[in-house]
Amino acid sequence: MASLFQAFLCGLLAYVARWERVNPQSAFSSSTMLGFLTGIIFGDPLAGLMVGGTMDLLYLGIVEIGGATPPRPEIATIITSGIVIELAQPAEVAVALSFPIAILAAQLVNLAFIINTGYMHYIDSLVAKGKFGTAEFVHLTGGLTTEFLFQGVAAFLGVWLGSAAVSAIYGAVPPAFWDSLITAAQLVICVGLAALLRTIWKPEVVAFYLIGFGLAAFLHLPMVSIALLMGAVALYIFTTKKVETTGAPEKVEEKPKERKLSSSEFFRIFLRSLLLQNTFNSERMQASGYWFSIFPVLKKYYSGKELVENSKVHLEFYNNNPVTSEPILGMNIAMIEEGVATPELQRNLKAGLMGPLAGVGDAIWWFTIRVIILVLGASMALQGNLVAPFFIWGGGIIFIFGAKYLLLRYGYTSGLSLLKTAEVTGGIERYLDLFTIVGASVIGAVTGTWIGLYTPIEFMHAGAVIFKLQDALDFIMPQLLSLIGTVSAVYLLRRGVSLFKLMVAYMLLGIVLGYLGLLAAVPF
Amino acid sequence: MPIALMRVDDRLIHGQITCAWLSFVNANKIYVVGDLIAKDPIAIMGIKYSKISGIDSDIFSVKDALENLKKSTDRIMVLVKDPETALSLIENGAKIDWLDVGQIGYKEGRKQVAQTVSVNEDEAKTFLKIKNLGVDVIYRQLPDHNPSDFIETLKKHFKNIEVQ
Repeated sequence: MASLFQAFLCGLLAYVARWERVNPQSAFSSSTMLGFLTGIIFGDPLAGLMVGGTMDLLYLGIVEIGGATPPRPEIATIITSGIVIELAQPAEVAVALSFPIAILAAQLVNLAFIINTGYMHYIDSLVAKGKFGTAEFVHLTGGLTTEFLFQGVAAFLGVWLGSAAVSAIYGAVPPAFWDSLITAAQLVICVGLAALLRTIWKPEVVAFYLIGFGLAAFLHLPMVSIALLMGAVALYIFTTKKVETTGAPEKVEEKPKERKLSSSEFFRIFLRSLLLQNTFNSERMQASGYWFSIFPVLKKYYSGKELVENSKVHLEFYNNNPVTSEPILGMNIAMIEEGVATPELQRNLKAGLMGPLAGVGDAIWWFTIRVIILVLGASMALQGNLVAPFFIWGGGIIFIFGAKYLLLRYGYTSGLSLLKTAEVTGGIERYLDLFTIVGASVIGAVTGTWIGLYTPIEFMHAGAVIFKLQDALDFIMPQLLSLIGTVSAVYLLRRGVSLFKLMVAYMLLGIVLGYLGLLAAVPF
Repeated sequence: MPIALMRVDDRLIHGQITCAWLSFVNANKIYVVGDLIAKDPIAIMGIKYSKISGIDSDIFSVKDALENLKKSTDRIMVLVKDPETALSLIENGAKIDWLDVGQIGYKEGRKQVAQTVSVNEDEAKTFLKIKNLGVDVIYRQLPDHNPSDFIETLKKHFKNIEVQ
């Protein structure tokens, strides 16, 4: 049974984790880290690490895009880690328990977005009255009293009451049921991987997925080796592929204008921009965060009525990927400095660029670099490597903070000259290809390494086993069922089956087939 | 006229399009359509930026879009900012079975009718005209979301709306 103190710590962890997930996004809130920390709270960091790694694989393909809220894994990881450690169950059991919690967590997030709309209106009225300091304070505290608090309370209650509830039914359910959950969990992870693959499912991606799978399943190469090997292959393709010259950026003739922000002022704006989503609301999404980020610049150049009017421009609807939002903010600041920032131009800049840049940012982040870092980290976690959570966190800090800072700098120094650039593609897609190749390979490697579906079906004659079906399958190809599990899920998702329904269906299928002894899985 | 999907979304191209819808409807090209945005240099710039992630996209006025749709053999996803543009496309020959409503941001005069959609009365009536042309109007942010009848939603929020 979890003590009240343990439950409190878990609640606090969930509070901080959700804040981190929404705001600075340095990957501290990866499931691997949360499982690990919950494990420490419950005295078994290794078991927590296993649950965390499992969850990162499971939720890999459930991406958060454009203000839609899919099932959220943070509190699900914390609560299920606690329960699984208390009951001394394998990490896979957490998968089944995590669903309802992750869905509830998403509902709580949506509820908070609706309540935050109230904060948004309050910020409007404060700005109209010129009470900017209070408005900033409301943005800074909004989410702390809604979104993150809800998650904290839910985690506290879940850990405190959940383990008792699960313990109560634990004895009443036959052990074979818990074993079948391992099979079910691995089938569901197949769907999780498929959710990611369905979006990038093109012939070249399929090829690299299969190569990654083969290297893991046939040659048993470790995940990191596969990533490095495929990175080398990608680099070869990248450097030998012909570049179409038409895509090269046209040289901008004018020199970038002298910029006026001191480096400490610039850094403060960067820090503020990390809080873009703190009071995310369903009516205008990141509007208050954008205003909060740019406000020091507005204050520097405007006063009185003008400051109010310019603030209002930035309290209008805004929605972008937090990383690719940075160049827009940078350009906007440059525009104000140069004295050309009419309300209309600023509106056009934000509305015209936020969508396309969000499209680019989401595609790059969710399907390339993040996948590689998380898969490698989760694999380390499943091997019981305590470095795993810090590997993921470090990767997040380098890539997310690095990209945000550089893009803000780029937007700011280039300013409006960015808009005059004739073509912007300039071969950036090729870098993307590089990451997609490695990403697809490591997902293939996960299928070959961690998914371990097999059939225990045997035929007996005169008291001796005469034929094992799995032997026949292995003769065709090792890990055939794991591959079928994943590829069939990609097929069904691409045929329009909804992700959630498919996950539930595969889970039920796994429980039934597992219970009947037709399908089994090698535990992690 | 190969329209894989027509969607009303005032962010036009963005993450939900590039990461979810394109592959779901199996489209290989995006047309961003609107008479005003086709002339807006920043919007045109935005389309160029969107090509970074390897997406084939173009920006057209309604008239040009219709002409290009007629000639094209691609599977095209059509994105419009507002229901008026969708209506004029449909009235002038763009063939679709259903119109996807994804996102229309709040501004003064609009009323929030769904999680991500705010409309004023004129816009609501335009959606109704689309419905009356035999096109289902469906609210669906992402392929994984359950589709819901957007006209029913509008009826709850605007009284003087009727379907013929």
